Amino acid sequence: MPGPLLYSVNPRIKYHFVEKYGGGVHWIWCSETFDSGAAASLSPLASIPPSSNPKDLYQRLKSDANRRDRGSALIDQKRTSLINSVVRWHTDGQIDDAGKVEALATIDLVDSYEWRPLLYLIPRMGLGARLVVVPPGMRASPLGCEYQIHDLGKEEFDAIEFD
Amino acid sequence: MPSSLTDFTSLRALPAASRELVLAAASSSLAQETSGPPLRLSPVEQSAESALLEEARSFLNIPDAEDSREVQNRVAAYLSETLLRSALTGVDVTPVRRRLGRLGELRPDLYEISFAQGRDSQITMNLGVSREDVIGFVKQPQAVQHLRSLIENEADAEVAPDMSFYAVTPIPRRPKDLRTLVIMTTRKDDRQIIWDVLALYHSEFGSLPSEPIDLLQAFLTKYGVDVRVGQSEPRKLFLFERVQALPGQPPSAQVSASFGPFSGEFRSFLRLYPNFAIISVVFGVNETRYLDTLRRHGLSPLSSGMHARRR
Repeated sequence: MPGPLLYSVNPRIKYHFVEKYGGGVHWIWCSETFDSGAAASLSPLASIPPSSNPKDLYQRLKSDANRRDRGSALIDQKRTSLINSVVRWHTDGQIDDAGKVEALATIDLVDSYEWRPLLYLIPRMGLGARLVVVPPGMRASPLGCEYQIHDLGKEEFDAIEFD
Repeated sequence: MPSSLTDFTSLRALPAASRELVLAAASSSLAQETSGPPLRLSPVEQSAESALLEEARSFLNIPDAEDSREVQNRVAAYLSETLLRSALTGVDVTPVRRRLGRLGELRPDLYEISFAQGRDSQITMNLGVSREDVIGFVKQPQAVQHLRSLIENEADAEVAPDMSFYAVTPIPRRPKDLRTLVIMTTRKDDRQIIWDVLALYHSEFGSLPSEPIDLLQAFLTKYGVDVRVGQSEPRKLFLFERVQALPGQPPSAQVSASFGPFSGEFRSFLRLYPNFAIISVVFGVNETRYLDTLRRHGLSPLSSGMHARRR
């Protein structure tokens, strides 16, 4: 039986960018479990690999950000994604030229520490068809179920940091 | 390597507005982490995207047979970084730099660092470190905490400023001299001024915390003296808070330290108003005890050189 919560790990800077430049519409990947490693071994949740497991993602991102690791592959991936999001918001007319430059300059100049993770806790109730199952070919593991939500508002989840 | 988007043959024929879009679409198509629907491209742009992906792989010298997840992420990062560099070419990013500095969110190596007047010679002599070493510690910190002034008014905030606290544990020449340095700076936009560097020798402490402010607390537990500000109870550290002033007393009577028979100095950044004080930091150091520790580790310190700064 599915649990009441969904879990998503995102850099703190992305949260603020979505609120400031992206119209407050959060487009996220999420999982039914915080820690697939703690799931029963035959459960589909146990098939979610570390690269998509919220607990592992949170710990890796936190460690890389705390060490201000400018060679972090994970931060690089998040950075690439955020640069592309800025172009998307600009193309969609959500931000003007000045907003685009300000956002890109912020990505360029900001301390790596600002890429530290937030854990989004998302109540499943009420999401209905907005909770999209990711096709197997796009998942980190075809057996482990992953989801996306494309239009999450900040009032629909809590974002927390922990040690 | 391309430095502008027109260096890519595949993008040259496109209108300027399309180039970034195609670059972002190409990057997104490879990126492991997507954060939105695929970018919509015209047939001409789609064709340019395919050619761009080939061109990018060629610039990165990636063999045709290689298409692992790592290679895809590498190409995606290369394309998005090229986009970013191109978008920022010729742009004055000073306002962004200052804003991030004010928030304490600027990359540490991008701050403009200087020493408070006369403090560099004092610090380098007392601690046996070079000026460049100290600046290097700030630009590549092992731990840092940035705090914002409680005062919005810029003129008043000069004496109760934004502050940053750094911690670094350099490798010593002799194991017994292993120490963690806490560096205290005032911050204004993207500029920082170094005021104090305090040494915590590991042999003098049981175990040390990792965060700079916790380290400052530990330092003051050992070397601090009780300080009183306004009507507050005496304690060893005041940090980013507001306290009631002593009624009817002049500014010189609002901050006092109990050094007893020892020599000592106190550091204070605070703004005194008629009825209250806004504090960035206030603490006092028993110099007799602290300088004795430095001497035991082979240094020849003079004095901490701390002095009051208030208005």
